Amino acid sequence: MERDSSQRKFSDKTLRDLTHRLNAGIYRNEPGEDGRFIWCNDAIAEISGYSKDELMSMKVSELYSRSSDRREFEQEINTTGSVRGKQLRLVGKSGEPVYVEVTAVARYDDSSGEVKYYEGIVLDVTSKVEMYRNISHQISTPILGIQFSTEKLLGGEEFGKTSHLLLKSILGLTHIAGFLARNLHYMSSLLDKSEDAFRMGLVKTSLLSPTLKVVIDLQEYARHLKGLRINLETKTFEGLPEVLTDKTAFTMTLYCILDNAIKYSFEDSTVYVEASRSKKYTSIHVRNYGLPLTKENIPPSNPNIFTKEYRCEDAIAFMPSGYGLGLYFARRIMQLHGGEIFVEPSKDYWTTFRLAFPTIITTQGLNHDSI
Amino acid sequence: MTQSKTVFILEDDEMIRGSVVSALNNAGFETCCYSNEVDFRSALAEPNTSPNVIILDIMAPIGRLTKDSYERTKAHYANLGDELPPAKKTGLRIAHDIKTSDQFIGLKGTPIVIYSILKEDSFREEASNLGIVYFVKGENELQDLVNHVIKVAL
Repeated sequence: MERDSSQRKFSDKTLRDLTHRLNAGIYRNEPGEDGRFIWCNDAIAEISGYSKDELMSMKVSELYSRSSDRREFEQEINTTGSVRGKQLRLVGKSGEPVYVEVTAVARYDDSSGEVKYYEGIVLDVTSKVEMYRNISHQISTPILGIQFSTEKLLGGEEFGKTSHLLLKSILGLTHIAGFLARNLHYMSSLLDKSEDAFRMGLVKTSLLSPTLKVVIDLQEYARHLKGLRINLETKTFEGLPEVLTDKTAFTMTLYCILDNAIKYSFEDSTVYVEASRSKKYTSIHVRNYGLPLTKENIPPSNPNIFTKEYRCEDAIAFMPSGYGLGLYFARRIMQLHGGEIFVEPSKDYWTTFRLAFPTIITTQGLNHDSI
Repeated sequence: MTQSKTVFILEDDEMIRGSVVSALNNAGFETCCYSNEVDFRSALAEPNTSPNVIILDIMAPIGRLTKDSYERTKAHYANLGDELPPAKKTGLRIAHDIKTSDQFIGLKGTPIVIYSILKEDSFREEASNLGIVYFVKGENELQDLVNHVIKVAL
């Protein structure tokens, strides 16, 4: 009996610790316009931006961006007894919207039969919602171009007049759709923090062939978008050792970095893609001439550059559309490779991002090492 | 009927700009197009500028992505002691200045249309508070925009 009790105590504590460590918010709160939290775990505080003390002293309805949403939520859960994966738009302490998915049940008072409290799990899906919104925005623009020009053609306009607009729209759409077709499931897994879904298949690979593929994919797009050239410095790949990499994941990473380079380059400039190796890393460098990154923009002064949805002030002002996700994805994937991503402050508007893979040490060792 | 009327357009996307210009030209309007905020504001500040209608994209870059434009824009805002404004609400910011700033005093009564891909209620509300019509690309047909321009330009 004693053993059972200590085991249960241990289990209770473990369960409590686990509950607080989970990424999912767990809560119990009172019904009604003035209902408050009875209990919540640390994740609720993290999701909302409020401290647990602040949460316990405020009305639950204050977390909703519209009070009518809270009423609708209660109406639904009171009618059916539960809700599953319901998406709600809350407002965090910062005032920014927080999108969550809630699965909850209503608990009833035995004697009165009235709702006593709600218990539920909350998942923060803000990044996903923002990503899909951005994707929708980016896809809509070339679709509109295609729609407009097709209508004009059907209205009898000469093909020559409309062809430039139509073809450019198709190129834009192909670029976005191609990227999504290859990478959407990866992006979704990374935002879910479910890297297991990645199933990284690390095999010894030469970096030249996937790099060449990405460069070829983006060359025409970059030229039409803003007169950019992408130079792949193949000589720097000569003698480059193979590295352990998941080819598809690496392709996506390089795509993100090169896409950024294209986006933030000054018009009619050149982006260089090069390789290098040292004892520690075998690396791909993407160097572009454009919006600079100062010492203040990058780590250690600013660790946010690789975090989700972060974009520098210059980037937001000069290039409005963007997910703020490319560098986040790139770093996560490089870390899953046991590698890293590096960036140095720009010099004379030249910025270099380096994708660094661990160098495989062979029995022969490496020649011409540099640090 | 509308031959002498001029529409100023701020739209950074070449595809959409081309479509809007073509539709308005077909309806008999002259058009002046700008792809970024700095160029658009400079054009509005020119003496004797009097567009009959202004069409603004909600999100447009502050300047061209060239070294020269970047350095000029940064220097301009540094002189003002301001940070670069975010591009998220460019159209609304410009519309607000046209309606309220003395710099654009001659343009206060000019009809303004926001032509946006964003559907957020807060943007529509803000536009409505400024007395501006808000069209959503894709939700409203291009011809709806042209019809509206014809109506307000008369």
